[in-house]
Amino acid sequence: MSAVELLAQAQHILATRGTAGSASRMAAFLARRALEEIIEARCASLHASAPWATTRSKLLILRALDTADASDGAAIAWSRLSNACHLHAYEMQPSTAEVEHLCRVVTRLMPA
Amino acid sequence: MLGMGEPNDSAVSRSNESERSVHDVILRMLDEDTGLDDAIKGAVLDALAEVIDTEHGPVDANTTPTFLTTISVAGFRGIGSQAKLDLYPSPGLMVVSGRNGSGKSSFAEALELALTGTSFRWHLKEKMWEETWQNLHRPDPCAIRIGFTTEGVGACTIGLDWSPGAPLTERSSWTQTGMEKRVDGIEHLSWARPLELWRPVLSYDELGRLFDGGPSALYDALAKLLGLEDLADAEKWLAAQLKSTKTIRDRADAERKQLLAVLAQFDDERAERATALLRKKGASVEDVLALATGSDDAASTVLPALRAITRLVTPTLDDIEAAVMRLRSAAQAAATAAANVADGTRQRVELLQAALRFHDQAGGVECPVCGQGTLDDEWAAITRQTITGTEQALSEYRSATAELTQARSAAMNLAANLQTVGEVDDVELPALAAYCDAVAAAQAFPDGDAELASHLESTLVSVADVVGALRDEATVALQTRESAWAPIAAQLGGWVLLEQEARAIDGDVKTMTAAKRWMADHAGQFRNLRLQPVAAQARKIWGQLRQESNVDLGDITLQGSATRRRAILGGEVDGKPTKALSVMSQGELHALALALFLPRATAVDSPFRFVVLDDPIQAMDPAKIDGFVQVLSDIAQTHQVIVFSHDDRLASVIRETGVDARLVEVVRETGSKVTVRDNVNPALRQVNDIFALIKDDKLPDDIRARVLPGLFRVAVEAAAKQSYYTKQALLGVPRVESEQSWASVKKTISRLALAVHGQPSADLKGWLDAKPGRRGTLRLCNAVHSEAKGIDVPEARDLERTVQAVLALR
Repeated sequence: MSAVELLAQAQHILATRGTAGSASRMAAFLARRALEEIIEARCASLHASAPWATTRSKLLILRALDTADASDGAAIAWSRLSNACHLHAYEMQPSTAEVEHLCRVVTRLMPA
Repeated sequence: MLGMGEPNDSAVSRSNESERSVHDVILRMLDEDTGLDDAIKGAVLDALAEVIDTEHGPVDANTTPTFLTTISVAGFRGIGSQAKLDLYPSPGLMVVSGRNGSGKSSFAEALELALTGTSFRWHLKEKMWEETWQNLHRPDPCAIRIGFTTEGVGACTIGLDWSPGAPLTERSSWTQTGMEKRVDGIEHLSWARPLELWRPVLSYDELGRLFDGGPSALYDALAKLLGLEDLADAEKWLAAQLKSTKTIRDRADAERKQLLAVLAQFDDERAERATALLRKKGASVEDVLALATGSDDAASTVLPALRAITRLVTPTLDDIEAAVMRLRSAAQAAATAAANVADGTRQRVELLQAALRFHDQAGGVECPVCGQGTLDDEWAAITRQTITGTEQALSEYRSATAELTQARSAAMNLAANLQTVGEVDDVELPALAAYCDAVAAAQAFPDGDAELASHLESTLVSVADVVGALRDEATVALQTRESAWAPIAAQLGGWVLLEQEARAIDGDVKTMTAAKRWMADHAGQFRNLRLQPVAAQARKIWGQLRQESNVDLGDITLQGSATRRRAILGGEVDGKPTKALSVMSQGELHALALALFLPRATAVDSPFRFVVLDDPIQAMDPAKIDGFVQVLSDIAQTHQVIVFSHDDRLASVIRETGVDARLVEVVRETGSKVTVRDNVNPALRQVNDIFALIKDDKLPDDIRARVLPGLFRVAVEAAAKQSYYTKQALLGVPRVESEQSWASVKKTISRLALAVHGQPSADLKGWLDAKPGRRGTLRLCNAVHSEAKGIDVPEARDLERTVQAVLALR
């Protein structure tokens, strides 16, 4: 699935909320996949494609080579989406508003 | 950088408008109110001058920007042997995290104590604190040092010291600017007022209690934050002034009331007249005064009547005796004379005189009356003698009769001239009736001089007898009245003085009342005008903090005054209007408290460019913590934000999201040994990232070589920037200048030179050669593609050491 399709899915899930209360976590998972696609695409467009490197490395590639807005946005969105994708002992699942916001951040990061 | 709201320019300019002094705004309002009486204007201005000039004009408040450099604590609270928290005296976010009981709050409390002499935490729990404020393990030495930098001044230290075993309050405090001599106390820093207005230290307890005091406490807190105390003080001053002015009027009125009560019991026509005068508002005080002094007796009747009685004159016994004797003797003389002059004597004398005249004309002739005798010369001589004797007797008789008439009228006059006296109102004079009877009896004259004499003799004497008693009674009555009236007269006189004083200021009272009303009317408008930008800012912060909350914060207004003052927070829950407070959860209230009070702590006029928050997020859910980090990052653009948190969530948000923030961790080991570790530092985080890149063996070498030099450069420059700003701040250089110098140089080596020597063109040779690896690190910062190939862990270690060396520069 392409990043666009993944984001569309995520937003659909958030909009319908027919998933017994776990909509936000599922949407976060899809959005993170989309973000990873986008990060890879951005790296590739900077002639720095490293498909097997860790996402942290890729984010650092963006920090060094891409715009500050893009690299910061990607780092924050990835960190927070990752947080949302994992079950943490003392944390509640992410709010739908938060995931909606992160989806918008990811959408803005899509290469033109 | 975080996509968070940029500082809103229009909000800033509006807030500047709202920072205009109370004085200026009131002046403008006074000018605009053209219909306002000049006297009232004057009173309002007086009030303003009184409150603004005396206590806390902007003049004596120190507003020079100040940052924190260190908090060093020994033997205090959870900290045993000396522990030092190094802070970067420049804008930025710093999170001090640590487990409960790690001693981090002790730093916050030490700062609060040094600044304000107390701490909100022990404000209400003094007893408990007295015993537990000192460290249990190492109470000695016990000292606090707070390092500051002030623009234009440089480094400054506040110190608190305790001798061993001394209680909390027995401490010596001092301040030291640079290397100068220590000065006792912190007063000369002139922070008392700024601390009250813009308290830079906020604790969880304080935030939690913000709403506990109810709407009036919230009102006070907001009014303080808006700098509206001047206004409240001016209102208070007017009220106090009005009260003290009115006391004179009130005293006069109270005195009048009391006088009326006294007069009501006083049975005197003066009392009635006084009552009438006092009842009439605006009656002439001169009349009352005349009444009191007795100078208007003409207007009354009783007193003159009594006085007339006391002056009553009756014939003395001598007078009576003389008059009666005269009457008696005159009567007797008249009787004797009458006896000498028998009845018909006069006719006979007249006949004889006629006969003599006849004889003189006719000569000796027979008597024409009897015809038997002869009227000869002999007869004529004898007759003439007889006539002479008889006429003498007649004249005696006449004079005796005249004397009797005089004596009688004189005697009768004695009785007739007796003064009659009428009844005197409301005065009992028992002798009066006897006197009147005696007078009446004396004036009832009998016939006959002898009877008259005896009558007058007896009646006048009894009048004389009774008049003495009457005079005495009148005198007593008069004295009684006077002695009873005297105090009232004095009281009336006193009231007149009061009343005159009160009348003189009646105009003032009116003016003051009007001025007070004017203030109250305009203060309400003004307050809410002032509140608007703060409310807007609070709403903005709330918007960031609320995240999932369905409570929308609406208008914040201040209503009422004095005891009916209250702050109203409007709001909407899912679009339905409601009072915000009642529907909020504890965590939401907390966020709201922060939303309301961060604007206060970060006000433009505040000298404190630091905000210290002690455990602000205890009741927040994770979504709010994200919002909170955004809010803090916003503030960190212009302020040094220091957050103490026992909750790792705040630290983790910062660690994971790449917010430009420092994170230090406080660890407490046995024996209260507290250490502070730099956990995340913007420069060191770059170093960590570089290690991560090097360790990622899936990353192609050429990409790594492209990426690493830039990251090296960012790491070194981040460290250089922190050190440079810190050093400049410690020298007292204004923040703006440091920023300009920093921005004017672009090369890494120049920026490093700024950090090391303070000059971009300074020679770095010595510093670069002092440790191996520094030159290599600097070279890699500027390496182009091929030169950066093969960077590995040793190079990263060199970078790490170099960055740490730069960070350690001070």
